[in-house]
Amino acid sequence: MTEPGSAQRMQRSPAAFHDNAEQALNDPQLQQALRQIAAGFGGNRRRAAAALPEFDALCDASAAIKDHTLDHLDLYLEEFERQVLAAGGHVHWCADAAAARRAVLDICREVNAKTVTKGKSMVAEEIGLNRFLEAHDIAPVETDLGEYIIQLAEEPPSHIIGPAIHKTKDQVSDLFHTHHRAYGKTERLEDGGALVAEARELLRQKYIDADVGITGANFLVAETGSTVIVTNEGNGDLTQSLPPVHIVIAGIEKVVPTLEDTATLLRVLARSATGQEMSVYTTFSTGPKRKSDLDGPEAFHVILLDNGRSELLHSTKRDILRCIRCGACMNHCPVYTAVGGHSYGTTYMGPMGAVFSPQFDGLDTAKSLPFASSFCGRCEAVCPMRIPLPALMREWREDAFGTQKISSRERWAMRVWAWVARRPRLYRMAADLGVRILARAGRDRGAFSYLPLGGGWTRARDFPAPEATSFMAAWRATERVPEKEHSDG
Amino acid sequence: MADPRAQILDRIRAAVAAEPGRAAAVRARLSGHEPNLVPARAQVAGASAREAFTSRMGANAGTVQQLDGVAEIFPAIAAYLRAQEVTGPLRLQPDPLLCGLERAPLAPWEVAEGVPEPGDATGVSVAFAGIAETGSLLVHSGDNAPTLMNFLPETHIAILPARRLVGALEDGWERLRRARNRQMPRTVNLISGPSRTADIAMTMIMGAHGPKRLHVLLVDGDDWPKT
Repeated sequence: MTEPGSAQRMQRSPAAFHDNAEQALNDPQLQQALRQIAAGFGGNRRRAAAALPEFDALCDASAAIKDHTLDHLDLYLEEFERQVLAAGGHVHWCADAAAARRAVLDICREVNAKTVTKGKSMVAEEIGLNRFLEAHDIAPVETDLGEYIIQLAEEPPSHIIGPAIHKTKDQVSDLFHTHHRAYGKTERLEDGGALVAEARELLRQKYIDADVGITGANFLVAETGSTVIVTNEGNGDLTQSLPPVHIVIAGIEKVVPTLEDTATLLRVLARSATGQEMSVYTTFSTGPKRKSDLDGPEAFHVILLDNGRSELLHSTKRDILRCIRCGACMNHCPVYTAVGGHSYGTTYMGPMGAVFSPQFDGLDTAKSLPFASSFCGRCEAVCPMRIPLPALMREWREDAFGTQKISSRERWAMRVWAWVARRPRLYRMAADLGVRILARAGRDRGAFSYLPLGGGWTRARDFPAPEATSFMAAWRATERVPEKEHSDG
Repeated sequence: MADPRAQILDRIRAAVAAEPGRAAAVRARLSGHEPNLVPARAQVAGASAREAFTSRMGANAGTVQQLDGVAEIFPAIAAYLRAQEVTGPLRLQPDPLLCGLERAPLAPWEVAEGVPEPGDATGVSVAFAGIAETGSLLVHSGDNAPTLMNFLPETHIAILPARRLVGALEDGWERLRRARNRQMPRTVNLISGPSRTADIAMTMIMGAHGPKRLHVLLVDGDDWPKT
């Protein structure tokens, strides 16, 4: 039995995936929270997709937009920059996380910022922005409710669109009760509405006091130099409208050509993410406030982050750059919904995370993640951007194998298996023999609790004893059935 | 250290096929504003656009009330605020037509014009367009249109002149380009209902940071210019 809040003790490294996953499976509160994901997000997505006859065609169109953009990425980024500058904004090109952190800090220091409010941004998580700002005496305040909750809990997001999805309401009650005392709120609230109202009230002043507002971007529009955020709470809009400086942090792959292209992508984004037809607030920001505008920031900065994306563009994993971060792949992943996002130990989790993380965190530490898949293919089936996620994970597996990142025992076993598998007659003989031995040895219990060389499997569960014949042997038997009995199906 | 901009662009160029005519293809796409697939449900106008907007805004948890003309706006606002028991200060977008209307119906409320302040309970704004496809409002910042009007007050009343209803978001973009001579305003918001969150145990709760309620007054007549 694990204590509440145990996710905090999970190791924040993908190298610890197996230990983390085991801990997650034994955490009843986490399991309770995870059970809602498939039913909630999964059901909503299915209904939303079914309600729009053109949904599949829109997914194809969306993938085509991104493919076209990636083929001309240099040109669209240059156009985007031109338009941001023309609107009076600034663009900062950052090759890696350290450069992006430094660029944000420099902007904050220019205006002597003490506090910054933040809309939800996975890129800010990717570059570890909060800890960096804190270390430089600038207080970041997360304003998305989910991000706010995990900031109080000192945890990373466990889902790209529902950062606090691993928390039960009880745990949120405890967190608010502990942390809101400082504001004179001593009652432990249990009603969801009351909890939201308290956070709303306390965060209002934070928006007003902040010197800088930081948001991410769902899209960058090359045509207009606009950055786009898609939210339901309205926190991003207060974050970017009230403080005098607005900083947008975005990966270079977020650019799309035109407003029309953005319209197409918006039709699949919310449906795939939460199952909404549109999220409540879709906001396009272009430059700082105009001279005659009545509100808005005086300065507008866009941080364009590479951090390995241009390498992905050059690789066999290029298709992952079409990703619009809807989260459908993880909502439908049997591994993610069993172990939760923290088990991955990376910024991005689930199937899309298993493809991004070896690039962002290094294949050495993240090599377990492309293996954290049963290759059931549901992620690919629900991906609105038609990203072949299992195939991309397989690419990483091959990279891991080819660069000696897999243990020599495993590599040796794979080689033997491959050698036999390329010889059908030998393979069938070996399989028939193995099946017969296992069936005979296991006929009493019907299962094994221990197998030589199979300890990795039998440590956590029984290995079922096979039927008396192999599949191929059974197949050969049916082939003897006369042809016409097959033909009327 | 190398210029990071050049470094990033070089790495991208090394990864993409250097086909001739790339630049021309990009220029054509950027200036063509060609719509991609637009769903059939978005290709509506007139009465069916009005019906689609009203039902989808309703599905988004907003409310829509039809008015025959501008003279009904303040009486309708007064009735709505009374029904919702909203007593706090009311802020009007400094739109000349809106602010020129007869104020008497709003007498019970403290009324001011301009940028909303944290104490304001109600904000009243005029939308640039309504999108029938999704039941969304398209609003933008400008000389007399503060963005905060759509986010700060707990109750948001949006006036949508009926002639500003369009079918698809793409129609909204075309109108915006025309009205603004292709200059994007600082902020363009698509608003599809009142604020909400499901961040606590996946349970939907209205009024997270933005407005708790959104009431749209769909006003007939030609008082406001078509956009």
